[in-house]
Amino acid sequence: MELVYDGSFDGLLCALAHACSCAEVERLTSVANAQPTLFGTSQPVPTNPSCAAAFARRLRANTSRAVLRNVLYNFLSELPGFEQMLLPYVRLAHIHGATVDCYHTHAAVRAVHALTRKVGCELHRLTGLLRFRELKDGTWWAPIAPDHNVACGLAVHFRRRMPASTWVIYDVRRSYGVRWDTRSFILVTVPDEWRSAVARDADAVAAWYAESEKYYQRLWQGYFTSISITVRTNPALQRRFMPQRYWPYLVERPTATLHRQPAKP
Amino acid sequence: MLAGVEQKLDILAAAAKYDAACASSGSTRRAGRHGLGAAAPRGICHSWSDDGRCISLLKILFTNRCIYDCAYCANRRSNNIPRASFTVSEVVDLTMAFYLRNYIEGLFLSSGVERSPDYTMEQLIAVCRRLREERQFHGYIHVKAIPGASPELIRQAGLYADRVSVNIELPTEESLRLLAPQKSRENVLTPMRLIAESIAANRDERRRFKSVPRYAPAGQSTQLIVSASPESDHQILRLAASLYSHCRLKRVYYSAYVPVNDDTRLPAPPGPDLLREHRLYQADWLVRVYGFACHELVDERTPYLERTLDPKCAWALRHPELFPIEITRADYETLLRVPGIGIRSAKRILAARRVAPLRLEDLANLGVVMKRAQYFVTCQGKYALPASLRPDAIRAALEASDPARVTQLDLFGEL
Ligand code: SF4
Repeated sequence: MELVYDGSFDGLLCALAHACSCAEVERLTSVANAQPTLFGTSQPVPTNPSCAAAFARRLRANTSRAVLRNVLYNFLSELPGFEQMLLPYVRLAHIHGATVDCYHTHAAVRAVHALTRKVGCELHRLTGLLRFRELKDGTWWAPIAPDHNVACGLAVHFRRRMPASTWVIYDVRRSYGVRWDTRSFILVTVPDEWRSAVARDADAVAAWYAESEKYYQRLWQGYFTSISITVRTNPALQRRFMPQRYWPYLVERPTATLHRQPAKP
Repeated sequence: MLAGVEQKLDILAAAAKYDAACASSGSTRRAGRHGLGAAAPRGICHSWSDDGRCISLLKILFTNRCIYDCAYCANRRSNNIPRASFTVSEVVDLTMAFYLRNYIEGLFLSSGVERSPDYTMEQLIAVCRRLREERQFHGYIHVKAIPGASPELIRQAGLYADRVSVNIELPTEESLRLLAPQKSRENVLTPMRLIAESIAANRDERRRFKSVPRYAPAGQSTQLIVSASPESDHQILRLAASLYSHCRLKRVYYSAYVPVNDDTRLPAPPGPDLLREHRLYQADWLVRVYGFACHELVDERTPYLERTLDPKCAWALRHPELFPIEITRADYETLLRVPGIGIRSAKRILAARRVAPLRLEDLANLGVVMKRAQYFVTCQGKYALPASLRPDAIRAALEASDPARVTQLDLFGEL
C-alpha cells in the first residue's frame, strides 16, 4: 500500500507514524509526486500537527537527536523519492533505537546518511558563500539559489551571528524568504518583479541598495583578486571547493584574474 | 601620493597573500543581543581565490613599510615598491563592513615593522581593541605578534585575539642569520613561548575562576617557508613536532617558497615546489591527528619524504611485518595506520562491527579506499587480492593511484 501525504514536514511525520504502526505500507509519496496507480492501493494521510509533534517526540526519546535530524535533512533535500529509503530507516530505528546509525552496511542507512551529509554540506557551504547586500532601509538582503531547502537552517545560523540586524535570506528557487527583525523570524514573499529580476541577476535590484553598498562590493572584488597567488593559479581546485552553480549570487568574480589585462604602467 | 582605501587594500592584501594561515576554527564566541558575530568551532570558508586557496579571513598587512630587510620578502626595505599603511579606523571599518556582508569570518592582521616593533604592535592591538570593545565584534581575530615587540604588548594581543602567531619562516638559526639578518631565532621563539605560557596560565586561572576571559582561545600557529633554504623534510618536521609538543601550537603552516626578489642568497626555482609542500602537509597531518611519530616518517637516514607516494603508504611499505591487519579486530589507532582508511571510515568500521559481522565487500561501503587498503588488510582472514603481491608491484600500483599524481596536485586547500 502507498501512503500519500501533503508534502509538508508535518505531513511526512504523520505518514511515518502511520507506516510504523502498519506493516502493509510499502511506499510514502508526497502529493506532488504521486502517480495514479493501476495496481495496488493508495491512501491519503491527513496532516495533523499534534500527531506529527507527538511522533517526533517519541522518535527523539526512543532513538537520538541524530535520527530526528536525519529525517529532517532528508526531507529538506527535496529529492524525489527520498521517502523510499527514509521509511525502512525509520522502521529500523524503531527496532534498534539509537544504534540504527551504526548499521553502515545497511543500504537504507547508508542512503539516509549520504543524503543528510549532502544537505548538511550545502548548508555549511552556504554559511560561507551567502552574501548580504545592504538596502536603503538598512535591511540586509541575501538572495540564494540552493539545491536543497536550507534557507531556514541558514536563518538559524545568522540569528546567532547578526542578532541585532534586520535581514532577509531569500530563496530564489523556492520563492520565499526568511526575515529576522531582531526578535523573531517570519516567512516572507517578495513582489513578482523582484522575484523574476533576482532570478536572472543577483544585483538586478541594485536601485534599492544603500549608497555605500557598491563601494564595498568593489573593495571586496579588488581584495579577491589581490589575494590570489598568480603562480599557483588553479581554477579546477577552486571550482571543486566552490562549485560554479553558486557563483551567480556571490559578489566576487571567480577566475576573473585569469582574463585580466596586465595593469598599465 | 595619499592612497585611498581601495588602493591601500590592493597593496596590503597582495602583500599579505603569501601567509598560508586561513583557519578560522577552534574558537567559540557569541554575540549577546546587541553585538555582532560569532566564531564557529568548525571554521567557515567564505570563498576560494583563483589559486584554489580558501578565503576565510580578511588577510591584510597593517603596513608594508618595513625597517627590516628579509631576503625572501617582497616588502623588505631595499625593494622599491608602492608602500601604504592603513589607519586603525580604516581596518576596523573594513572588517565590520566585510563581516556584515558575510564576506569573511574575521580579520587576520599582520604587518611589516614600521618605526619599531613596539610601535607596530601597538597599532595592531589598537585595531583589535576597537573591534572588540567599541564595535562589539565577536568574529574571529588572528593577529601576528611582531618579533621584538615587548612581552607586555604581546600578552595584551591575546586578550583580544582568538589566535596569536609568530612566523618562524626559516627552520634553522643559520638560514635565519643568512636570510633574515635582523631577526634572530630568539626573537621569534621568545614571543612564541610567552604566548604558550599565557595560554597555559589562563587555562589554570579559568579552572579556578570561571569568569576570567579566555586568552587566545584558538591557540597559536606558525609558518615555515619551504625550499628557500637547504633544510631537509626531517629537519622541518622535527621542528614542527617539537613546536606541537613544547609550545602546544595548534597548526604549523608550510608555504612553498615563491621567488619574489632577485637575490643571490636564494634559490631560483622555476615555480613553487607545491608537491613538497603537499607532502609536508600530509606528514604533518599524520603526526598531529593520526598519532604517528615524526621519526616514523623521516629520519637521519631517509631525511626526505617520498615524492611519488603519500607518507602513510610509504610508511606501510617500509613495514611489511605489521601487515596485513585484521579489520574485524584491530583497534582504532591501528586502523588509522592503514593506507586507505581515514578517521571517518575507521569510526564507521568500529560502529558497524559492533552491530553486525563485517564482510570484505562491506569495506568500500564504509568509505575505505580499497584501491589502497586492499594490500594491507584482511577481513575475517580473507585477503581482498587473490595472492599476496610482491612489494615492488604493490608500490607501483600505489604510485599509479596516488591522488596527488592523478589529480595533478589539486589536493591542496587545508580543510
Ligand atoms: S620583517 Fe621581514 S618578513 Fe616581515 S615585512 Fe619586514 S622584511 Fe618582510
